[in-house]
Amino acid sequence: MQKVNYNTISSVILIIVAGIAIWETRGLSEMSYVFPRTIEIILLILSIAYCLKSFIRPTTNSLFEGIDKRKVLVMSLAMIGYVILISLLGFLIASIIFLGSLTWYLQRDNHEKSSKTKIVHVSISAVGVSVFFFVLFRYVFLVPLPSGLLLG
Amino acid sequence: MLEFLPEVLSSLTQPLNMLLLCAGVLVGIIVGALPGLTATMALALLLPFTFTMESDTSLITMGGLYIGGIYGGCISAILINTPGTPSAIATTFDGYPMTKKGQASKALAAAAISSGIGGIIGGLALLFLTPILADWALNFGPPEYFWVAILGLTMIATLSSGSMLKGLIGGCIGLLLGTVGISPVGGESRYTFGFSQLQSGLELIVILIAFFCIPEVISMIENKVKSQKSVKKEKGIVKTLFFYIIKKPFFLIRSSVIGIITGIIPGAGGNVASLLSYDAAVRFSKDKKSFGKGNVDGVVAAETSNNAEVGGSLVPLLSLGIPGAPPAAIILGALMMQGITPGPDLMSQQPGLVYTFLIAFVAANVVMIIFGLMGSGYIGKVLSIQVSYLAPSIVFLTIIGSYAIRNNFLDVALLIGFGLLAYVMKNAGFNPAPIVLGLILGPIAERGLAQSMLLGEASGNVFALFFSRPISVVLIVLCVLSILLPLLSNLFGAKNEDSQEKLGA
Repeated sequence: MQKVNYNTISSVILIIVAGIAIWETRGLSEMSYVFPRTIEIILLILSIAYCLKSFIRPTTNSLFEGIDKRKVLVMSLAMIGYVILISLLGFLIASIIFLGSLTWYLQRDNHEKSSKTKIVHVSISAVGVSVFFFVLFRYVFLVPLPSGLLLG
Repeated sequence: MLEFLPEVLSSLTQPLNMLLLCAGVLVGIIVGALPGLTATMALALLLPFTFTMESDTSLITMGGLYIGGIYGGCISAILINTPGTPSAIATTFDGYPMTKKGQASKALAAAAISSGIGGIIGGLALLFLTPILADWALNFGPPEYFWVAILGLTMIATLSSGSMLKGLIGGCIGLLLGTVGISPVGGESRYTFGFSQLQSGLELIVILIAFFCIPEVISMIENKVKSQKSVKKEKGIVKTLFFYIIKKPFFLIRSSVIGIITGIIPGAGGNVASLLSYDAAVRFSKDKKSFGKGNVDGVVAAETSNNAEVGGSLVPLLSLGIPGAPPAAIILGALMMQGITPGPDLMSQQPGLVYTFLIAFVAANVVMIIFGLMGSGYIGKVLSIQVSYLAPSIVFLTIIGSYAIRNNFLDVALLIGFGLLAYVMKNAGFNPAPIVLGLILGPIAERGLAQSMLLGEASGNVFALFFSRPISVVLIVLCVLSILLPLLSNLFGAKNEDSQEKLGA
């Protein structure tokens, strides 16, 4: 059986997105729907062409070929976690936790430093960077930063 | 222009503006020198610093950052064979071989001088072409704006790297994202899914940071920093190189013109400019074989062109409101944050501000030459910053930038959501540039389409309004050509390859 390649999957997702977007324009007045619907129809046609092309000329490589998937997954989850933490604990504490934990994780391949040295360096940089920019933006530039539900 | 000179001079001679101009160039060079941190990222990351500034100060700082960022890319290209920004790709061809021959200091000095000269020529083009194009654009009505937007999209879809089909799909996705919020003509809410924060649409800067920064940061954790060669200083090299370079006016003008034209065309960025200019330098050289082995002309051609492209990319931004390159898109976002809408009216409404920016742009290039000649060896030291510290700090700064625009937490969530989507799409071959340009051009195109339809209905012939006005016809022809020419060249290219294979067999 032929393996389904990522281009086919992408094209199917795009066809679904275009279909939903067209459906969402129902009930709008002509001046509100004319532009999005025109774009969605073009997107639908291009996506169908993309789908057909993916069958006619299938790619042999996979989507994340040659990429350290584990690192990318950890980085992505860390960013999602960071957003959740900000909403709960506020910007400063969430940033210290995010910067500290992610820097620590990314340093695991570095065998030049001892674990103790790494902890000291990571802690200083996480607290230093977070506090410096927090103070700079909140008190010098007067730019507001997000506060959390549990802590401000 | 001379009538605005007092206003320009009073703004430029303010100590804060001069200081921030220099700081912008310096920070831009440092960020641009770091592999993985592009000039676009430098502008996006440092955007929140400009929120509380006056509009002229903000623009001067951003201009300095853009110029410094593009130049900075050459430092890592020369020292570690890794372009700091994509536009420095052609600099590696001869820059790194020069470093291997022990001529790193010569290569860095040549890059600084030629970048500065290219940048100044690009700046002068910006100074003189912007008013001309803006004057011409004052004749545009809604149908012309619609076709300009479509032309921008077809060009970026076909010129940006990768498949044309994916480029066009990306452009459509961007246009679709641009329709989120209240319809500009109909006044109804679209694709807000119950979030009242989305009524005013997706925030341009958030989407720019999501598509240009987050995928780069994720990719960055894969990079391993290469060891850096030491830079030995050579006495008298700057003077010798300066006279060597300025004695080649035709070479400099050719490289700059390539850069300026590439900059004006949306979608073709500094990387295309430097490659085209390098290719022209090789073609017209009497000593073709020395290129790629450490010929200083290779560095000069690439660097003159990619810095001239900076000025070129700002011409359509200031005159039409359409950015010529991704960093110019961030400057568009910064202008809109300041309540300034770029376009033909900007020249007539705020000429003092525009000329201040244009003159500061030329001055920033002079500052860049000085910094480049004095400190590129020292700036090269920042290349040893570990990615484990850099990547999380960049994410941290993007969060500040996205939240600070309108104090909306949904923007932070959208930044990460769209950022992760952009990373997956980039790996699937969807370049971020057409998507972002689609988002910028969407409202222009929609307003053009809806207003033209209303005008057409009133005059009784919608079709004639779209397809018979002279400027519209020219734009339509350009749209068709921009799609057909790459298709035809692919077709003939494939045929030539087939015939060559057959001959070979």
